Amino acid sequence: MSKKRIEEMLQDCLDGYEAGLTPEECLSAYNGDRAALETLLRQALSLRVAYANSPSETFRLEAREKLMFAAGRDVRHALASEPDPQFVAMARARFLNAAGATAQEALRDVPPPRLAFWINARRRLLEASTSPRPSRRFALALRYGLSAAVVVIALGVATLAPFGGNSPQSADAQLAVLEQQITSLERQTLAGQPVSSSVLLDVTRKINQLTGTLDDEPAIARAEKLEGLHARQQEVVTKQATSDDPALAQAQEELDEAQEKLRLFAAQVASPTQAAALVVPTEPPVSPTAITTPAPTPTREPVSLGQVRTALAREDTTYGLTWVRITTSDLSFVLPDSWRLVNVEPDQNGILTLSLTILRIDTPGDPPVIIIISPTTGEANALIKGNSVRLRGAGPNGTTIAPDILVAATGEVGLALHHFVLSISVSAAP
Amino acid sequence: MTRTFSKAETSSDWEPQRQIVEAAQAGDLEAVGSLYDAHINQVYRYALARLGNVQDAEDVVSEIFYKMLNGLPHYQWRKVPFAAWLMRIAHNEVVSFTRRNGRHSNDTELPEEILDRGRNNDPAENAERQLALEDLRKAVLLLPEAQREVIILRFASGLSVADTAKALGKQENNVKVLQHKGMQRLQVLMTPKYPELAQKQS
Repeated sequence: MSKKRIEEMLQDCLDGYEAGLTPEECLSAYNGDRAALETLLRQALSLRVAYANSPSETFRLEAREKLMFAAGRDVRHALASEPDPQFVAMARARFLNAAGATAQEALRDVPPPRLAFWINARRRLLEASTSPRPSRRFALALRYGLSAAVVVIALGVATLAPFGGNSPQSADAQLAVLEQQITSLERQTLAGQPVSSSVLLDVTRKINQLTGTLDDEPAIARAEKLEGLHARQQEVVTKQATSDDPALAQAQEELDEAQEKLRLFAAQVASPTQAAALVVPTEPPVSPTAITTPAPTPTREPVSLGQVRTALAREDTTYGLTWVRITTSDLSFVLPDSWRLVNVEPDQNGILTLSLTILRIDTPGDPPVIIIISPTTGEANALIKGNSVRLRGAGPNGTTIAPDILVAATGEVGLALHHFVLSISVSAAP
Repeated sequence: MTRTFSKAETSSDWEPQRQIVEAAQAGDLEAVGSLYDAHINQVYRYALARLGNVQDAEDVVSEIFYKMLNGLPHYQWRKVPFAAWLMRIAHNEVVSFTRRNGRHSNDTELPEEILDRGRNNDPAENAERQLALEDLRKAVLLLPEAQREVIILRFASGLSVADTAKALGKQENNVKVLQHKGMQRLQVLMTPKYPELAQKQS
């Protein structure tokens, strides 16, 4: 009997034992070597028995749990979970603010500089250049290599600041933007969402700044508007002022200051002498050449392909709703300010841009309606309770849906939907 | 001679486990869990047999499976079967642990709940059997390192000769010789206290 042979026999016996045979059944196959094999087999089986212990159930489960955690189960689950919709909404609003979309929109309304300004700026520049001690501002500008033209442009921008009294239209645009921002803040506050104190302070500062520009006749209308916005913002700040945030305290100071300015302005308007002064237009102190030169009419830049412009449709008060005018390169329409443009995001310059070739609009309420509209042809379809409904055909004269169908399908929302459909205006042929 | 009872360790037998291993390598967490379930006893018994202490064994076992997890992306099925690869990790980890903690594996504190097919209801006989098994485990710890390693892998972890050889990086024949020598030495160590073992052999 070779050593190799007895080892193989032992292995066979162990395998047989594992397969369910008894030691006797295993050994019966090797009667000739039984004596030697039996001793080894018993010893081997004793060894198996000696080590046939298992980990405790507690340890087994704990170790497994830790291993699975290490393998990334929890991480994966965490990543797979959806973020809180409120968080998404808030983050989106902050992102939009940060991207300066509203500022960009407001700047669209800034009129180009008047010729008179260019002449005055040129004169000031020439005076400054001939002066033995140039002013610190010019000296700094020239030291940093700015050309005279750049200095002129910089001066122009500074003079035509969007809140300046010389540009009532830009102030109106600012008011509209401000109103949108306050509306957004009010919604957040109503929803119980926390509002960043820095955002509150920023909006409040704008109110305060605007109240400082109330120095001419159109300002009366703006003052009334500002008064309303001031009251609304005061309410938002009061509701949010649950902590000792210094920014909120500062916002309150700004509000108080703005209120004081409004009060002074109201007093000025009420005074007959002051009122007369306001009614009589005063000529700006510019050179005769400047007076004779007509100021160019402010025009809005056309909206480029793929871009979207939003503006408050102040003239539209249908159904007592606040309507917003949406303009694309080929299309214009209004929708209630509570409806949401889904696939519009600000680009790197803060200009609202379509992320798809279509424009999707979601309406709140029940039933929710999803509207898909072509920004070039005006063709509009809606998904209502799982059914696709053609709202408007393509082209400038696209067929529109009857209002009774919309009302039957969506109830009260149908009226707003119909107004939206009728407002679609296509400027170019599809 | 024909291998009457031997299990055929063909590639087809390994195929299901191979699929599990490959799934685990691809990031399937269920597959990782399956590997753990399939090998926890094997690894635990090895660690306990080598360290002789439940607490130490549990610490090392956890570490072994973390190492397994980290090593999975680099594991190649063609080179070595998974069980052998895992037991190689276990071996390295036990060695590392004993070096780190300066412990010697001679303080056997194995738990009482030893599974024993031949257990009966006679308390005296059971106690005697437990003592014998305890003596056997102590005897294993007295074996030379190479023999002890083979005996533990073969009989505690239940690895085949081939897998034991791969786990230890040895030839199969070498493993068989070490096993045979180890068992002979165990007989020698056990005979003074249990002379019936020698009598049976004679």
